[in-house]
Amino acid sequence: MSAATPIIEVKGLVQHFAQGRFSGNRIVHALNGVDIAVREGETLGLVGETGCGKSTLCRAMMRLYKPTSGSVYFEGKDITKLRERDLRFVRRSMQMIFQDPAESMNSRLNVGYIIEEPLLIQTKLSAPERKEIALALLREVGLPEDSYLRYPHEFSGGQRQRIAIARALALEPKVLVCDEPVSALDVSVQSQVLNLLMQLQRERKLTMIFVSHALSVVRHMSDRVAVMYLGNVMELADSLTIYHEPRHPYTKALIAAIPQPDPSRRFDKIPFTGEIPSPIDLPSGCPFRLNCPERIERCETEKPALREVAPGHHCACHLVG
Amino acid sequence: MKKPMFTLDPLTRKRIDRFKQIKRGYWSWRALLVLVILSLFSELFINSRAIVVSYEGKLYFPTYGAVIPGTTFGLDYQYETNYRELSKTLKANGKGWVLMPLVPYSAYEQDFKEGVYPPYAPSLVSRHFLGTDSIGRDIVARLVYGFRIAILFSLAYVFITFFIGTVIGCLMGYWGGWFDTIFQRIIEIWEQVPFLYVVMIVGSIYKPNFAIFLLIFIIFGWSSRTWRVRAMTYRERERDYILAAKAMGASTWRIISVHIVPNVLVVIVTMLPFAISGAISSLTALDYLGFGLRPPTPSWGELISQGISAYKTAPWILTSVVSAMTVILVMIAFIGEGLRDAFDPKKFTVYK
Repeated sequence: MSAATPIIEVKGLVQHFAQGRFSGNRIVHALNGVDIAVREGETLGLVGETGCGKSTLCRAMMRLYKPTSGSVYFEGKDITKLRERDLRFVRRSMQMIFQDPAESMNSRLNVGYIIEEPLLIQTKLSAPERKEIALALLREVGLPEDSYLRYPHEFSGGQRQRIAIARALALEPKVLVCDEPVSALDVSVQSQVLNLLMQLQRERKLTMIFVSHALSVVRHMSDRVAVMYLGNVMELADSLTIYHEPRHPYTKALIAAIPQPDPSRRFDKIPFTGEIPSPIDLPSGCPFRLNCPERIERCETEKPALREVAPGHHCACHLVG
Repeated sequence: MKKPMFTLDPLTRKRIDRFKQIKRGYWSWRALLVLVILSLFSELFINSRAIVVSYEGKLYFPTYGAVIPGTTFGLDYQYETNYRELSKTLKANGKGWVLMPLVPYSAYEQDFKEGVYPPYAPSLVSRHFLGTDSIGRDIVARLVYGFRIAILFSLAYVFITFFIGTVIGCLMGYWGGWFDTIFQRIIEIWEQVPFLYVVMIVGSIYKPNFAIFLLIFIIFGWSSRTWRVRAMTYRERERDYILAAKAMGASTWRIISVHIVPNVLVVIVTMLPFAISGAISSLTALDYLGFGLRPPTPSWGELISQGISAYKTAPWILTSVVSAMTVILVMIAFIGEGLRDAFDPKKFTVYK
């Protein structure tokens, strides 16, 4: 690990959502004690199945939620308890790209306004200055300048995601959180958007948090990968290590499930037993124990901590390390 | 550069185009707009004051402005000139001329003929085109000025209550939690207060004027406007674009005014015409019962009550006011129906 302070660090982050005030104690345990540090300039991939807390982690890191417990640090500063008006500097330096670009912009506003809105909120630039920045951003993401006065519905999904990227870059953020940025797009344009993101990251030296449930996409994009399951980080390592030497049984099952075009290189599929537990009633001990093919007695009583099992390789499993 | 905020977005433009295609709604809208604008200038058409008086080479425009005493035109009284008399006098002595409005009576003025008691039947000669009521006031004048008061009243009432209701409803939906719960309970309790009885009690203690009447209506009217906006806001606030705005650091006010309100405006716009016709009806009903605006004020309700008590001897009172009211309410209903269909996402309604 480098000596420099990580740009974002979360410690023991717990995020619960209450389900209805009068329906008893139905609490969704979205995050159950997540520890993760994002280094400046890297791309951290977050993978996991639907509902495992990837998006919640992103939003909690951006302080769009108020954490139930635990803390979030941005550039070494504790932002867990800051009020909205004190979060301005965080809002300026962290921006987000959402899964569905059609949902993530107000369809009643034109592209120019959509891109300029962050500038309108965060800066005191005049209208012509803002327009200049917006036009430069449109060029940068590869859209014609006449998009400026058009509306989101006039664009294709890939183009709309480019608009969303331009909006996210308007404030020149340090961190770009991409919450499944290509899963709503056609396969044919996914790679274009991914390449654009990678190119922008290189040029602007962005730190990127990249969420996806498509493992191949994450491998393509990330320096390090965190595997999540039921609101916990199960394994965290360099993306090469994760894909070639997965240690955690869950990661192994995930990697084995990647479609492999070359039949001679196919892994044996690892059977995935049992049902996925509900985040409302968490299992005791290890969250993965109900589905784990290698479970032992200890898994039932004790929740494994995320430990460093090899240099730079963290894993939360009793059987590893 | 034109500010992008004030250009119409394509969805709104499409809705307006669709509204224009719904003929009876669009024509009712245009006709009603013309009527409202004309009624704002009804002093020029229906007035006991002349439009222009030429006296000894000088021109006078008495319609708006201070009272011109009779002595100005060489008459022997200090009070306001009777322009209908003046017209005859000037024609006789040749010192000038008078241009009277189409209906030369005001809404408050009683016109008596010698030897006959009012109500007088409609007559082109005396220019009481729809006759007079039972104390000799011109019915056209009463109708038009009554319409003006009713429509201005309901427009003010509806816009103010919708403004308050939208702001509070949006905040309830957007903040949720305790704010929502507390306001829900307050509104539920508040809505149990029988509004019409309160108006009647206030109206029977002292005759309220326009402003007090409007205030009472608003105090009891805003709460029912919150529900739909609140529900819509609950739906909108969970969408990604609101989260995106939050991630930019947008203030609550900005999120509500720029992002939520334009998207929930649909329910408000489709409710507007029906709220307006409802307000006209309840104002008329209160006037009819005698709990409305202070008596000499021209009002449809008061005309209806006169018309009912004299429908055998003077059927023109009831016929004219009922026809007028029907036409106006039907037009507003057409507008509402057109708007509702124009804003309907399932837009394949067939008109016959």
